[in-house]
Amino acid sequence: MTVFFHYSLHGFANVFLVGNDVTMEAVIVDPAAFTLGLLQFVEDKGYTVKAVLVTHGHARHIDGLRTLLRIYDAHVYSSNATLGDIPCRMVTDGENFTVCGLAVQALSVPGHSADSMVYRFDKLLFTGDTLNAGLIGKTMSQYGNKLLKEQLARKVLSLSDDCLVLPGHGPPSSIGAEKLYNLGWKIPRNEVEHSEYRL
Amino acid sequence: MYDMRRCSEPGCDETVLFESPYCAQHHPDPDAFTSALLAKFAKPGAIKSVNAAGLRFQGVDLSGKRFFSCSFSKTILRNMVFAGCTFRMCFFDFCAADSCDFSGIDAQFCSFAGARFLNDSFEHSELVHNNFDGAKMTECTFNNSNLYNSRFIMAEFERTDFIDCNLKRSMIIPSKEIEVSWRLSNTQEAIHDLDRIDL
Repeated sequence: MTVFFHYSLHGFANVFLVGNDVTMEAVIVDPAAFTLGLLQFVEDKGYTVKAVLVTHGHARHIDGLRTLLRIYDAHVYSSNATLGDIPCRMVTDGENFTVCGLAVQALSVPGHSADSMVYRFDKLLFTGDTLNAGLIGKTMSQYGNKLLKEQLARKVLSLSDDCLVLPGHGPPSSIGAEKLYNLGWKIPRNEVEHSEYRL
Repeated sequence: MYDMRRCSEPGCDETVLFESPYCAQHHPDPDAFTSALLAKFAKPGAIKSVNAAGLRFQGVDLSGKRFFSCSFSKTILRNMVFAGCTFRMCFFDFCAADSCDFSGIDAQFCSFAGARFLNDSFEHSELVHNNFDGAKMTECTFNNSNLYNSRFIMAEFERTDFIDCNLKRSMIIPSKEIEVSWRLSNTQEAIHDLDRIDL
């Protein structure tokens, strides 16, 4: 398995390509943009994009989806039935499935958005906007903030410390680092309560 | 990506070292393994998908080497020379680097979270999209470096200089700052508080 990242200036989001080096099939995680540069990169590596995993339906993570689907005949996996008029294969919390010969587990982590999913490839976690280096996702309410922390603590931070966090924005991290250095556990975004959150 | 298989030692959940059935802690002869790995590094060409987590390296010149998707997590690095190296999606989290030369490196999408840096130079480097959360830097210099989109959340700076650096979109929220110079750096373009984060 090979993982490549592409920094999209559209929304300053990360686009990931996970390639199966045996079948030369590839998965794109969060097609924030599908630029000529990214297309050239995929083609140069000799991959065929067969699947798209969407962590959540915010525009800055899926704006390249329509372009991608014009070029590649790929299945779209999401917790939604459709993204705009694009039909998706719906995934549910805890579901194990295979894309391009790679085993994936979907974990539902609502809070930043109701449809937020984390995709786990063994020790690789594509966390979208739920968790990124030093921060947790922005929420619209204290309820959302509490829900997000609870879901992360139960489903993501319970994984081993050497699991790698590949977020939708910003640099990579690891579960061990996020347990120690994430401000999300220390300071609620809306500053309403100041008690330290217990994992 | 480096091999994510688990160590063959019963009960150990660590990932295996490069082309080995064991992690650094359970490898029967880690020193011989390190020597063999350095011999591999000495060969021309890019170094891809190597897991060296937990090993000790001392006094080796690796200047100009190109590393892709490698792990140096929890390594101990003493008097190492990485000058002019390229790093893409490499992990140095929780490493301890003493008197190492990282000057002129081009590191993108790497994690140095929780690392301990003592008397290290990162001068004249491209440090774009990197994670320095929780890193402790003592008597280090980042002068004349590009830190675009890098994060220093809960980092600790002591007698460390960031003179004439590009801090655009960098997140600098340290928990300790003693005798730090930001002279000639665009500190106003860095993000210093959570209210300016929109993720």
